[in-house]
Amino acid sequence: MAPSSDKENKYKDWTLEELKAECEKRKIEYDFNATKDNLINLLIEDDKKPSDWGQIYCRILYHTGMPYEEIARRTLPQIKAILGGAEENIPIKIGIPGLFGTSQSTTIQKPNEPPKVSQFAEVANMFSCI
Amino acid sequence: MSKKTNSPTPLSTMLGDGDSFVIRNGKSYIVNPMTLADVNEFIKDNMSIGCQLWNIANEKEAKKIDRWLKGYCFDEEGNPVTLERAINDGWDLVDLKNFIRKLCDISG
Repeated sequence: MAPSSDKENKYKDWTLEELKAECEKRKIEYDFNATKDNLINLLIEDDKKPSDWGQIYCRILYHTGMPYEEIARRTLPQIKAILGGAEENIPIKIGIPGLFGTSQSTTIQKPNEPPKVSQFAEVANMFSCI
Repeated sequence: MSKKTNSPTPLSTMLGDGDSFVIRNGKSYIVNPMTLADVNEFIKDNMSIGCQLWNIANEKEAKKIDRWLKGYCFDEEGNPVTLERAINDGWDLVDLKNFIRKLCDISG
């Protein structure tokens, strides 16, 4: 079965050999006779797993000698670059909830022009007195 | 990390430099990427990234947005931008949404 969404399928242009190499790099077990679609599904499933921060910290400590407390002061792109430079293939993801908002309702004052924060804050303050 | 992401890492990333952020009335700011220590706190804050009405209407949520603005948004002189300052600078709700999205985008 082909992966459901082309948008999330960043592997669709990869060759069978590249997909196998990626699975081996990530230590994903696969059938030797697996098709391209099978391997893509395995990789997409692996992408969905939460990041193993223990492993990420271990790898950074091992490769850089950076003090433990210092790691938390680095940004995620820096951590990715450090691990990438050390040829460590660890997927790092952060799940930020509410990407599309927690509310479906919006109150727009004028067409094509969103309300100013100040205008909305005034309305909100009226209710905070109740 | 994978074969498709071998592009060179800019020095600005390794220095933790921020990125320019321009609101709809043309005012310009700098948004810095979050540190790992703050990423967890940001996730726990569970702020709405899309619709900003909730973030402003609720006092508790407004404090959260103020904290992230102060921590990661700076004017051209390097002064932190509070929610009050953003209001005075004429930010609209789309600017606020764009700020949070920008913060998420450059943070990883």
